[in-house]
Amino acid sequence: MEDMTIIEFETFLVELDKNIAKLKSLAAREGDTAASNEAKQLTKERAQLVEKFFRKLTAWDKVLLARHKDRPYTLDYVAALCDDFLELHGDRAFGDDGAVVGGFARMAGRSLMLIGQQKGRDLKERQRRNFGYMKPEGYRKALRLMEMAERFSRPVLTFIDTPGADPNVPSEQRGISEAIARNLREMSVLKTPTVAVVVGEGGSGGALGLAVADRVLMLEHSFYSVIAPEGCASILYRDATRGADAAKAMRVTAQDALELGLVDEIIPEPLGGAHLDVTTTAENLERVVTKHLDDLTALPMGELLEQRGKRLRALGKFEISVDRWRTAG
Amino acid sequence: MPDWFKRSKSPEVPEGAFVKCTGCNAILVTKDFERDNKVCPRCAYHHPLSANERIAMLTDEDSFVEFGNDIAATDPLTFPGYAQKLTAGHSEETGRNDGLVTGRASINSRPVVLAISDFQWGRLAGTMGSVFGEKFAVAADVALAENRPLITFCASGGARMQEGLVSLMQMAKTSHAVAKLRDANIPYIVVLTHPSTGGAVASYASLGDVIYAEPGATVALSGERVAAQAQTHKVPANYRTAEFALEHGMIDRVVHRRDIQSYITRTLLFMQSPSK
Ligand SMILES: [Zn+2]
Repeated sequence: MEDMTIIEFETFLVELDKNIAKLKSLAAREGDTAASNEAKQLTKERAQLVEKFFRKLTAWDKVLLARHKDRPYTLDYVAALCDDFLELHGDRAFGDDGAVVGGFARMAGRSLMLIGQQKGRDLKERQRRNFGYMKPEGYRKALRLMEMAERFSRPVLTFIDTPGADPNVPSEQRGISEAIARNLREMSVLKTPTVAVVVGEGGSGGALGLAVADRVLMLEHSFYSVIAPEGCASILYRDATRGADAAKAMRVTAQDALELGLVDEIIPEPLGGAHLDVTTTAENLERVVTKHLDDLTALPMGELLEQRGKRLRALGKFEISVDRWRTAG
Repeated sequence: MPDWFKRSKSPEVPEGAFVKCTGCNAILVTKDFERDNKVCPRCAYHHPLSANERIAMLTDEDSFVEFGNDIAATDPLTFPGYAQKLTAGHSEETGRNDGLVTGRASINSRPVVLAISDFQWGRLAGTMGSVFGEKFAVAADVALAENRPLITFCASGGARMQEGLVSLMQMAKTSHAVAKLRDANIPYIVVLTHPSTGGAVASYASLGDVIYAEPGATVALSGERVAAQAQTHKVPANYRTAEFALEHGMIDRVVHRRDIQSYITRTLLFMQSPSK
């Protein structure tokens, strides 16, 4: 159990559940009390195993959970959270990026601009949404919507879930760097409250391009990283398969980010991960987001911007010393 | 001139009277090569410069006064091999704490603030760690407080993975610093040199009021490795270069190294009021 990844553990649970089901049907069919007792015992042990496993999730397990094929995506949360969602399209310059969705949302009695990175479920949708890799027109669409929210005094809520920005030729041609950079600059001074939630993969600059905000929150089993663990491993160990080691070295989990003071709060997921219970995850998400939005909307605009500016200015770990790295002797 | 202004040894410049051009293999007289700021007179290949060499080339004599060199990294993740690189960087002849060099100077008698990346420092590829972010922010603060233009020379592999997520956040920090300059109409000039990639061009280095680039410099979001792996499209011959960025409207001009001082001066002449 110790050296299983979360995915292997889930497979093991599927087998275990089959055995429990067999025992139960045996008990029901033939009144076999021994089988009935064994089923009960196994069910109890199963619960203990799950709890034990989830108490000791590794950084790599978190990466795998965040990328889980059944992980809820932005539109799953929209369906669970929003009384209304009117999706808007296009950057008014080049196109509409399927890797990001955005529009008018009603959530907990509040109107807000909801913008989220969106992956696809089946192959066709995955391709349409470019596997969650946003293109320049995606960042520009998002900025257009954020500026609209600013003009109409509505808060902005973003959901982060991307492996990174699209690295292909057409994106470089259309200025993927500039599009991200502009978002960072504009989000840092946007005159409306902003909350960003990492719900799955927080993949480097591609994630940050929607995540400069007054409050940054993370789901319990999401991760946020400066470079994909595999990419780091291929540089550090010259071996891309050592993503688990790199994830640990870079401290990519939500718990790490909280400890480093880079996020404000972690939103709990149900035992086993968000994909096992979207409703509960969405409820937790709504509760925490609402609390932060209540705090932020109560602030005068000047104070909101000042706090955001101070927060951005303070990012970093350094000390004042001219010879901190001087070798002894 | 202080000791650290002495030209540093680089692989392209062996001891001796001659040096071989990286671009065309021509054998050049070292003295001429240095005089030409390490640009090959035959093929115009722009060889790398240290931050000190750039400062010497760009600023009025003895006008550069450095600040921010007391800001030091802390290795917040105790990341494998990072402390050794920081120590190695510090032991270089400049004795600096980071690859970003910041200070006040004048260019053709105009007071400016400089933030210049040294790609070689600590073999850390000009990456943006916490010290980079803080020095850049301090430089912007000085520019803002003293109404001086901020001029940055970028040479960077992007964010510094050895500092994990903390380093990614330097993109937000530097972009916010630029937002404040923009708000106050303080000129902000970016010069992209080889290579300008990753988190640097996805933040402060793409936000100049004007953006110039040296000929042939790599300018791209994705690193070479990623670019090579990820391509599903036909790759143009000048892909990921300054010339490609110019062609697609991402920068204002490609500028030969010998002309950059004049371009900066002409830019400031436009941006600053006559009383300046
Ligand atoms: Zn040459």
